[in-house]
Amino acid sequence: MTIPGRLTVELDEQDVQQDLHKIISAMGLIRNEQLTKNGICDENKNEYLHLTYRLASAIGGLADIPLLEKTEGIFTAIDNNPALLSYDYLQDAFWRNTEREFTESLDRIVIALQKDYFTGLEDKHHVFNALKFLGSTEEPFETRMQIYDTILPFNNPASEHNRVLFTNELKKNKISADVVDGLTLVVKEDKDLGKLIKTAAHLGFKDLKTITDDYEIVKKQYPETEVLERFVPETKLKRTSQKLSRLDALKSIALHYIMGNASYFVQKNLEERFGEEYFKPKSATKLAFSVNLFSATANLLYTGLSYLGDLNLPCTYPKLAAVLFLSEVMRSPILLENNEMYNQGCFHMYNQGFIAGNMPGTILFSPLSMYYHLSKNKHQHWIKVPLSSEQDGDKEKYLSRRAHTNFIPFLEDLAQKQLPKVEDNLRWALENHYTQGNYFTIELFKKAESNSFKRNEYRQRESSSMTFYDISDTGLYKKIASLTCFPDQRYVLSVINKDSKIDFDALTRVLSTQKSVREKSDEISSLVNAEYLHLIKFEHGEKTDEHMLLR
Amino acid sequence: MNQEFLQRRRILTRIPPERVYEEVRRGNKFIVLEEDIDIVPESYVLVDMKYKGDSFKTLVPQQLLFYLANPGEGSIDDALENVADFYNEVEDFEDGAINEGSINVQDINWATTSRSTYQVYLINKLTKNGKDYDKSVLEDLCLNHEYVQQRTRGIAALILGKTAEEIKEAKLTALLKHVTISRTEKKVTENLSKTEAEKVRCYAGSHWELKPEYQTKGPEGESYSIGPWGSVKKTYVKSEEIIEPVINKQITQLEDEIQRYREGKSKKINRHDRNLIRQYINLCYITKENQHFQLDINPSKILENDNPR
Repeated sequence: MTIPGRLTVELDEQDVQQDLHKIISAMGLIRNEQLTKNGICDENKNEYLHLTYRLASAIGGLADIPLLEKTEGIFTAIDNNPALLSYDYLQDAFWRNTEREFTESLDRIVIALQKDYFTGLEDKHHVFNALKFLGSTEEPFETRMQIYDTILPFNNPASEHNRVLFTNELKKNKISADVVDGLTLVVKEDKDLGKLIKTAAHLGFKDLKTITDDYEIVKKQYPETEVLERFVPETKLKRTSQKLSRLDALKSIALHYIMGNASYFVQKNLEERFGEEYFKPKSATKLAFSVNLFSATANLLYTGLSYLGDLNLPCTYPKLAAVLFLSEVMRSPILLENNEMYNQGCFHMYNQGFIAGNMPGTILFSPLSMYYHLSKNKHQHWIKVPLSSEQDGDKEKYLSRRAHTNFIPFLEDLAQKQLPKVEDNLRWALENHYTQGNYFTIELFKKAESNSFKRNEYRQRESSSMTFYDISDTGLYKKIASLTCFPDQRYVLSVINKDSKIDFDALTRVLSTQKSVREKSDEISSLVNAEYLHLIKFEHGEKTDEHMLLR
Repeated sequence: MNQEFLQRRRILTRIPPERVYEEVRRGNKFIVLEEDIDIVPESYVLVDMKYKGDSFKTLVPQQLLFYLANPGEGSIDDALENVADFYNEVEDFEDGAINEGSINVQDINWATTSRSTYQVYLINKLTKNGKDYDKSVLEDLCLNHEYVQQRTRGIAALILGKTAEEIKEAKLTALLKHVTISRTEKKVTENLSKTEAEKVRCYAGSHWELKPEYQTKGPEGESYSIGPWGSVKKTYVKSEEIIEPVINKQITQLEDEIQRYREGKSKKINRHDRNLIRQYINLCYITKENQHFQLDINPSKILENDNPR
């Protein structure tokens, strides 16, 4: 093959339009990957900036007067509220409340640019970045660099431009949060989870990281919740252990002596909660045992001596001393040797590690023991709740759903199919009352392949027509692609609108009239309240006319 | 005299300026011309791309133009190298434009064409006739090794937003760590057979005693005691844990693990390998489920040990 030394390539708007879709698609892939990672690496930042430059160039090349008029509203909004520089599609709910005109203008620009290729509003993020690039071309170098810093695959609600705004919103909702880790809102409190989720989703966070003491219940309520790790609280107990660390030796000994009487379970829990450096159960048990045994023995000896010698010494509660003596005698085998019987004894005094309580201590500290028993299995955990705009509860949905890419080329291929043998099957007659359109449909879709076209059918007897259509729901907007077949005439229609219901009966009636394609487009546009409409007419397999409308 | 002659010749026939010659000598693949030339350097093509009357002239190698015009044809390895280099040079040009704050409609056509062409060659490299995977390439990339398969499937699962439970069901253990949600401890008593006890004669007649090996505690704190008629009871504390799987890896980590594994297997690491693996993941796992969640293929990515641009 010989390649000439000089080539001239003429690009038309269709070529630029194709490039635009490829660029937006690549930007979407980078955004999705970075959102999954919850962070942006420099390599991807750079590639995303290049793609933004290309998208800006494509928009610059395609821009006509109506589109430029739409962009003016965007630039005015940024001038009035610089926080918009850090707009991200995830924050759309927030901005739809506060800057409605801005978000709706951006909706229309995306639809106007993508036309039949429109797949969803998430592309607003990329188009807005490209508009920022276009708007900055006349700015001085430093301002441009500041704007480039905001051109990222995703923007954080805590970024420089809108930090104050979002912090105030959090304060308004009485949420003290640390925004860390990309798009994750971190709340170190066990608060009303429903409220937290709603607020975080509304403000444009992707995940909520918070703590809960009942993961299993949360998981039932929000099945997508994931547990991350055990939460070690800096609660009163932690603070208590700090206080304990400041105790002088005498107070520490007193604490060990008192708690050394409590049961094994209580002592072990104290060790777990305060930390081994502040409370040593083995030492506490030994200390309490030694002191009790010594004092009780001394007391009994003293009482005995007093009684025998008739010395009339002051009373020292000999019964109490006797009880204490007996208690200590009972737990002595545990401390003196690793005796089997106490393991199954009535006090449940486990002999692991020579930690045990005495009977009065066990009874005295039983409320504490009960409290620890009740709270023992309730560990607090960090959890992550993935957020979606559905959780925001806003009436206007702007879910991150995707419509089909573009069915128009597929439907155009079908419209060009010549089917003379079954063309008559479209016409209603008494003899094909039950089969009208059936054979035609089979022949039309024979060998036609489109995995994602969800075929719905509408048959109209009066106009002898069959309509095949697909409706994609992108959240706020619906995208309809249809092929209406009349004998020897076909209409391919692409519509983007906000209405969920399309009256195909009325639509087919309009198409069956003798009006021009332009007139039909206008009529259908008002019928379906279209943001965008594209109507193509085919006669005997050939494209004869088409018309495009933008609101 | 010679300089004067050259200058005169330049005016008569528009010879490429010195800068262009220098770039040609260096083998650059995307040479932007500020003014038209009559003499096109050998093995290069002057492409004049026009849009709405605006002209954008560039010199590109003939071979590269062939690859861009006929994606998938010719030598795959050579095409990958050439197209990736070309894309890098287009990005260099774009750096200048971004710096100046200007836009260029024609440039984007070069960039998007080379981006998509590169992806076609990646598919061709991975497959034979665009259908079946080339086993030698898969082996070279270790894609048929269990270790790498775990990670490639893991990357797909992460990008498709699969939950930890779904990942656990798919047995992608490399991605998960486990967190203990709660732990319960309860005392359990089990009745054992009499063989653990033995009858001992004593002054009162006879009685049952534990065999010597059961008289001390077991390794996990289990203890044994004798009941009536020589029955033996084993007592121990049983702890039950509820453990939840948690995703513990990121895409980059998994990609790095694959690379380290391949280095460990003494495989030669090529600059396109990461993109080849990404393309394989797209084809094998992601596109079937959701094409909007594919991994981005960026031809400008270079390895750390590659020569810097």
